[in-house]
Amino acid sequence: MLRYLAGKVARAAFVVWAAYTLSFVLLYLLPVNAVDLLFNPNEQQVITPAVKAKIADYYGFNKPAVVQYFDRLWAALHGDMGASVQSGQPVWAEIGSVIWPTIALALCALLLAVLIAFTIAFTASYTRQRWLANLLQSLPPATVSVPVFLIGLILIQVFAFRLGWFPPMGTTGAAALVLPLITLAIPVSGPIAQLLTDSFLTERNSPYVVTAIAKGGTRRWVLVREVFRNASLPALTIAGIILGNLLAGAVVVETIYSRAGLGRLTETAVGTKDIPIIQGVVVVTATVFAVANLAVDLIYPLLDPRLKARIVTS
Amino acid sequence: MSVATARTALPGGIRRDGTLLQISGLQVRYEIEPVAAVQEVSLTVRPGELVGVVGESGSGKTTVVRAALGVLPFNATVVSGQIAYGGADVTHWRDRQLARVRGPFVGYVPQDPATSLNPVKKIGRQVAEGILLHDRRLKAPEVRELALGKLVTAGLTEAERVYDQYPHELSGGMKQRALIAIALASDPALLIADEPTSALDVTVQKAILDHLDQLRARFNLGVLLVTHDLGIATERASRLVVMQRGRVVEELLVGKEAPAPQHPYTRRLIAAAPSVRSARLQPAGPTGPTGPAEARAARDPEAADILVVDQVSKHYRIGHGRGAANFAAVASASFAVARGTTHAIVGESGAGKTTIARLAVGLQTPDSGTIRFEGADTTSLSAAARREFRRRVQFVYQNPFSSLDPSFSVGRLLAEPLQVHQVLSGDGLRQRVRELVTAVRLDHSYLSRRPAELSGGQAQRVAIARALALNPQLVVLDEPVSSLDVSVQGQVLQLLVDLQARHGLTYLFISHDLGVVRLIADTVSVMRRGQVVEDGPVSRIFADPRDPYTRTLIGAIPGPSGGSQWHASYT
Amino acid sequence: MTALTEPIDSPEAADEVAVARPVASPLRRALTAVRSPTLVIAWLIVLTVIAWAVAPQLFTHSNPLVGNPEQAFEAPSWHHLFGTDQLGRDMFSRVVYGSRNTLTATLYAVLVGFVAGGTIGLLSGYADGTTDAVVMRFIDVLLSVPTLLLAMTVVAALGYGVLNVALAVGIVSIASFARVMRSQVLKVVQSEYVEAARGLGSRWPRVLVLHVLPNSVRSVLSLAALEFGTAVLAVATLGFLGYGAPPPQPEWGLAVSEGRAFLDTYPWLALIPGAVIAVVVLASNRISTASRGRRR
Repeated sequence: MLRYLAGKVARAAFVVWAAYTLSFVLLYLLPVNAVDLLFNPNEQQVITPAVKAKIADYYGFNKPAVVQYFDRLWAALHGDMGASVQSGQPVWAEIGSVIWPTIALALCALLLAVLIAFTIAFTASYTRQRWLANLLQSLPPATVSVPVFLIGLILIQVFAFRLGWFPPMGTTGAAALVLPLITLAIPVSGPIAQLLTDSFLTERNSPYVVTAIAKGGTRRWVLVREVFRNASLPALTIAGIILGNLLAGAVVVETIYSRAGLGRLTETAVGTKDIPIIQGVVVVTATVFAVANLAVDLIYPLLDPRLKARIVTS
Repeated sequence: MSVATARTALPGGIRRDGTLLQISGLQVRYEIEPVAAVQEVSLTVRPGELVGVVGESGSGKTTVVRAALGVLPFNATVVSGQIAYGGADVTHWRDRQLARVRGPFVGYVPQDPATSLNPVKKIGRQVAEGILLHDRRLKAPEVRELALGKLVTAGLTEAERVYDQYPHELSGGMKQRALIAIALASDPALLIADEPTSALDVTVQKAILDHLDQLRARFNLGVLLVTHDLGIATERASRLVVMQRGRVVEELLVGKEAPAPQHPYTRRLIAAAPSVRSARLQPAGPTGPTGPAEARAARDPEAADILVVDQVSKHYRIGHGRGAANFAAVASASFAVARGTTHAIVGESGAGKTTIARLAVGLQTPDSGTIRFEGADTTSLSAAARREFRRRVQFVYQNPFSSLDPSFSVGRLLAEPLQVHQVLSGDGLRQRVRELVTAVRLDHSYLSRRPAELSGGQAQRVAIARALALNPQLVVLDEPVSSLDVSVQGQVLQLLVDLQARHGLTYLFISHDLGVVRLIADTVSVMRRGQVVEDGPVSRIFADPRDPYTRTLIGAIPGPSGGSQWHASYT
Repeated sequence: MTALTEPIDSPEAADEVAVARPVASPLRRALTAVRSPTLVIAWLIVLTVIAWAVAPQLFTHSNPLVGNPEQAFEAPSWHHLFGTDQLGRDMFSRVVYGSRNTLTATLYAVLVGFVAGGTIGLLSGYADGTTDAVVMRFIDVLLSVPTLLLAMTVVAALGYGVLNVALAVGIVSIASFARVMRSQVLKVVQSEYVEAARGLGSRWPRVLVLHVLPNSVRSVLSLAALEFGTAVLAVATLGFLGYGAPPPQPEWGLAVSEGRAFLDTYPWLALIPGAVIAVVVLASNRISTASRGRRR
């Protein structure tokens, strides 16, 4: 039991460390001239070589790569990820100032997405109308095929410009949250609905369902009381993918709706080559991913007695 | 003890006396399939009667069960005919109506206990639900008491413990008993059992069938028992319904003496059933240069042994870390295989027989003991000698579809061993491949097919042909016919016997089925939990079993004791 | 070597032939495909956009870069199928020519993922436990960063441009290719038919080339079809964010981004190119589903 726990925690820590290392290699070692990246591309001409040399010295770019890496890692372990090139603010402060609207948006969208996914999966496996089942089953692949920005633009065009129900952009107020929320929820619901639909249909055809029907369960009773739990469990395993979709979606959604948030910060940081911020975002998302997967690993055995038994005996 | 009276009234005027199940003129059709899966099927089940439905795969017996329970899949429809429960036509009843009689009137015992229980619910709750669904007035302690009673009735003596266990904590036999408890939860008058023991070991199978029989007598239950095993059906049923390709070909009364089947299919089925035959199969067609095997073995037993397994043990580690345990798959097993004979290893699951087979062909190495092939220790062969060993000893797996590369054609599959050992090429190779496919009685058009385009029996023939390609001396067969239908099983066994006679082959034949062993083997080792408990000539083992376990195994072979007379009258 | 004897005719063996599974001829397979109209339409769509990318001049006579300012903001009509933009450029011709940028980037991306991911997966699945474990932990890390963020990071490191976007999307897809290839290789290596080939005395290189590779690569090919759709989306998204082709050039994602400013008044400028992307991705996903179905 303790071994299982320790193994999972170690794995989560490894993921965060490796994400830090990967982003270091990509962002600090791969570019030909890291110093140039630290400046706004538009200001390149006005900066003298002397200043660049001084900056390079300050950031430690003159030192060997390994020394740079350990210096930065050591600082990062003490909470110092460097400062934004654009604003001069520490990375954590920059990220901390925008992360909450994104978390609110992501959580609401996740809730809506899960609701949509369960509705699709449950209806598709409950209905006796073949056409409805087929239609519902073709929805999840369709939602992941439509670009997020197209969904956003259509919603703005219809509900903001034509009908005027919601503001087309902005961060303030609950009304401004509605369109971004739906835009983000649709693509995120796709993979969840896909997995749940497959899983519901597989479970519905498994032998224990016949046992349950034969002991007198109605179709709805069997679906709710027998199939539901077994079919929902696998959805936890794609928690990482869902998080990734939420964040990737947030980048586009926050850009379209001009909302402040982590996604918008990332988009601006890539646009202005704000390397420390990008690395900060990478580390933050990898941490969220690792913690989410750790949580799933710890919760799953509690929900599935078979897995629990295997862990206890190992 | 619970009395078989209904706690709730049955809807639609269903009666618990008189005919319990009446299927008349049933026709079921699946979408896209050109022919109806079930046509003109009629049968009845009365109280206290066990009716057997026998058929091979594709006979439509499973469809009949599903139709009788009203759980046909979406793409299947009842085209015509009717299904009546206790005198009431339920063919077109809605889900809600049927739900009220499933449990109180009809109970169901499924095929595969491993997957037929909900894995995340405790056993007790699954039984209790079967009670509560039909009587919501009951209070929790009453339900628990009733459910415990059902578990005891189903033969689970430690009901209190089982009540709070999950399915994965029970053995296969216990799971099947738990499923019987669920079927009995609301005191049905009719039980429908779909191959209830085909996934279980023979000794467990016997115990479960005995128990079902007792329940039938005790509660005057009507039982519809569907099985592929003619032995089980003839042993247990009072009436037998034989199905072939969706139709009932014959209905037979089973009494003390042998029934008199009229239909040729029934006669063939009985002839092929291993449990009703007692003699070893004799080769048909020409035999090879050597004489009858038993005579040769008797002449010079020492020199005749081609494979000698001596005090061999093999352990596996289960789990990891501190909880790891050593599990002895094979413990000090010894036996010898005489040249030109068939030696069988028989045992139930976990006996270590597959491990023995893999050790014999060198797919695994023993932890201790020696294995000698033609006098040479196979565990310490040089690279060249190992290659030669691999040429002379061949292996046939249980499932041909997983042991034949799905992307290869039959022709390529048969050519591969010859190419690997560079024995033949060009025209000679093509000629030899044609010989091989002919030898297993397939025609040349099969050479371009892929495994997925073959039936189970055909694929296993290809696997046998591949094993013969290099003219081996010893062929190790791991349950080669256990995934095949009875009649196909008979054909493949006959083929093996014929090939053995023609080429002087030696077989090491692994099986869980003593009936099959009796058909093909000269000598046998009975294994239990990694140890050989008894060995000797097949005739002696059957006539005079010395170990109690061997006696149990022989006693568990389904079929009437007078099987030999039966067989004599049908071939 | 002793010859096996002549055939023995056996009535039972003939009986069994009747229950053999039918042989699927190529013709019958083609007919099954036609029976699914959505699959045919999907192929038509994908082939059309590929034709656009190969020879755009065959499909449109308008210049995608130079427009007639007098014809700015015309609504879709027979003359301008997709309308015209603020500079009077024909949007249909910009979409047709834009397919070259978008699809080239997509193709490179899938190729990078397929070759690099497939090789890593093959070697990892074939290597001993420790090497495999180390490689897979690093693949896990690639998967722990959301794909779009990882692609953006690579773009930030390499700079803007169509090729860099292609490389970024390709690098991101390495992880999933490697995962699928590895699990397939592991499955095949542990299969009985590989064991049987080994048991016959085949050496490893022969087994790898004849048995493992052909049986593993098929599932990776169907993933490639799926990744094609995903890559179109990723390339378009990066283009929409402005990291791809620089402005005067036509590119699908960029076209949506440019049209966005006029969403209120001239919605087709953004929505039509967006719809084209969606239709192409839907079509390639349909093809991918069909190829997975046939494998089963």
